[in-house]
Amino acid sequence: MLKLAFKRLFHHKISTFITLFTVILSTFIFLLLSSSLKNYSASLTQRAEGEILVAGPKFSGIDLILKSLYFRTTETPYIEYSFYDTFTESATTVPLFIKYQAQGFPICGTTPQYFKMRNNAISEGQFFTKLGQCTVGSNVASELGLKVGDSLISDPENILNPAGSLPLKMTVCGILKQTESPDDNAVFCSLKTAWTIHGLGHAHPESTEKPDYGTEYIEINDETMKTFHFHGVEDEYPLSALLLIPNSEKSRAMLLAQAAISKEVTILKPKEGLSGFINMLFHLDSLFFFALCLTILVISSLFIFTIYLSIKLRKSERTLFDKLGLEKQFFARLVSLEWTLIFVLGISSGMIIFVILTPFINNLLDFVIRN
Amino acid sequence: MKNFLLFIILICVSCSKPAEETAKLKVASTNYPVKWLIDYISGQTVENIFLIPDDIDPAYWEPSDTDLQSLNDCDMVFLNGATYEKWMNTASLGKTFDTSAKFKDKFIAIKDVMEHEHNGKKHSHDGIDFNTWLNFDLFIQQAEAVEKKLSTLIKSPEVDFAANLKSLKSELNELKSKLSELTTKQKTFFASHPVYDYMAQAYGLKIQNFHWEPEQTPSEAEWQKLKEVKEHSSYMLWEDMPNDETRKKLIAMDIKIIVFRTCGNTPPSEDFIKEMKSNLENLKLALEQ
Repeated sequence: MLKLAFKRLFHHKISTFITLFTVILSTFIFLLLSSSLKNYSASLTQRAEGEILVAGPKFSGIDLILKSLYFRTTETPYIEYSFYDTFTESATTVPLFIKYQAQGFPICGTTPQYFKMRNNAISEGQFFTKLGQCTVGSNVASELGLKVGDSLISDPENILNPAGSLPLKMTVCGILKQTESPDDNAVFCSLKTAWTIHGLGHAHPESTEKPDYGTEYIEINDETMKTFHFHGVEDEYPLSALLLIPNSEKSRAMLLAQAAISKEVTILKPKEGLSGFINMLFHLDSLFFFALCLTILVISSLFIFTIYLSIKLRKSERTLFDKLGLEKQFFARLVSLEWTLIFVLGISSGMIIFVILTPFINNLLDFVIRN
Repeated sequence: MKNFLLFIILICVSCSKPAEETAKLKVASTNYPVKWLIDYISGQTVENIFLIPDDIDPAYWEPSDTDLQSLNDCDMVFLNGATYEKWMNTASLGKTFDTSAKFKDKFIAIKDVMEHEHNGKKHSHDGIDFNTWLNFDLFIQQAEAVEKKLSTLIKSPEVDFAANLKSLKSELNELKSKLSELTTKQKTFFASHPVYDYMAQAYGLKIQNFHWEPEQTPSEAEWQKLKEVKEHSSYMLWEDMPNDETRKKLIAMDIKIIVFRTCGNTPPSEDFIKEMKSNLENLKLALEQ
């Protein structure tokens, strides 16, 4: 009977293919819907776990958390660099300046203390130590084919704005080990390097060359380093956020109290700060669950209707089986076997395709979070 | 059999891990005065790294990539501040602590900027005077900042930081009184280098600065400049004993040489107080002549 079922399915190639494709697609959509929200929520909360606090401009809320934990390069207000010193007595403080990108990857201006805080390790080269150097995440290195010693030019701020700051040609001095976190997709450099991209520092005479895409850029080498200088008051330079690990529970409470009365700075507990966002996700989850149930109902109804129609259309076939003297249940068993084969094959194929596509889906979710 | 068991136990005990030692705090300092402060206050209970070779002036030291990596491996890098660490302009360090940040309003700008050669390297004393420790009041403020920072870094110190600070303050105040006493009558000096401005600020001295190096004989133009302002003083402060030719010429002009080492780098005695006492002794001898 199995042989007969296979023969029949192969004989009606087009209808078998369409039915199989529908089952595969239904399985894939079902798995995607049920897993994507869970993954999205998990990847958002993973970096927000632990004792890290985030300080930033007052009323910056979720944008501050997304910028400091996931390196979103969207425009947000800044706090002054002077706040860095304000918190160093009560907490291990890591400053961040995130605004620019290099080949589409966010550039995070920080101090080497960041790597200690995140327990990041180097797979090749070293952490940045000087102006103009950068240490890149593992995905950045693999996607751009970067090695230690290569150059990486920051993206122009706005190619239509000739008055905007010039891109900076950075030297890749190290590549981070894979962390399965947004660090894999970021370019790390010193605050001063990031501020140079921001247009606050330059050398005399300014060394500029023509890069491939026809615009000028700043290059920092041993020669230009000698005359490199910054303008303005350093205490007033911009910071996107400060990551804080309080020295003690008491320091933590004092920091939060200090921020509560401050008119310029806010301190957020990332997990709690994300709670509103996650709550929204949970509402979305319910909505998706409802949509999922509806989809299952519609697809099941369609399949039942298709099976019913198929039985009706195969009336002559059933009559033939009767004439041949086969038992009455033979036709029912044959139809059941055919559909079982289609479902088993379709569902397993759908699952395999979902597993294969999971990394791409995760990358897509990362991209959505970053941008 | 008993002996065999005893032997096995002994082997197990000898192979077992030693009791875990508490990791020592690892800090670094960027000039000798700050290094000395840390050593004094901590009672040398912290690992205090000093990367600058003896023959290099820490104010003009340029750290290599390896040096910067070593500094980044420290729990804290203590800086003198007041633009002392010019290399910080292009370096990126993790945890740094500026010991003079609290008295930025007391910084002294150097007026007569000029570039000159020293050990084959051109440099200028432009911008801010960074020899803050020569004003002992400011140095005490640096010491207080170091004590406060060390106390936040080490929760249960092996030594009493506050007691060490008290003792340090008392030694510095003693130096301050002696210097104040010695300069009561003599307020005008020449200086071979513009490095004594904080001392002048603290004790109301009037110092005329030159840019002379102890190992180099000044040019005729420089001697002419000195002749023009000779009536200003009969005493010249030097970071080190000048060469024979310079010394003879100064004696001939009736200008007394006072060696007053700033101690930017580790002095031969490896003791800041001892070195300052020796400076005061030199000053006393010259003024009594």
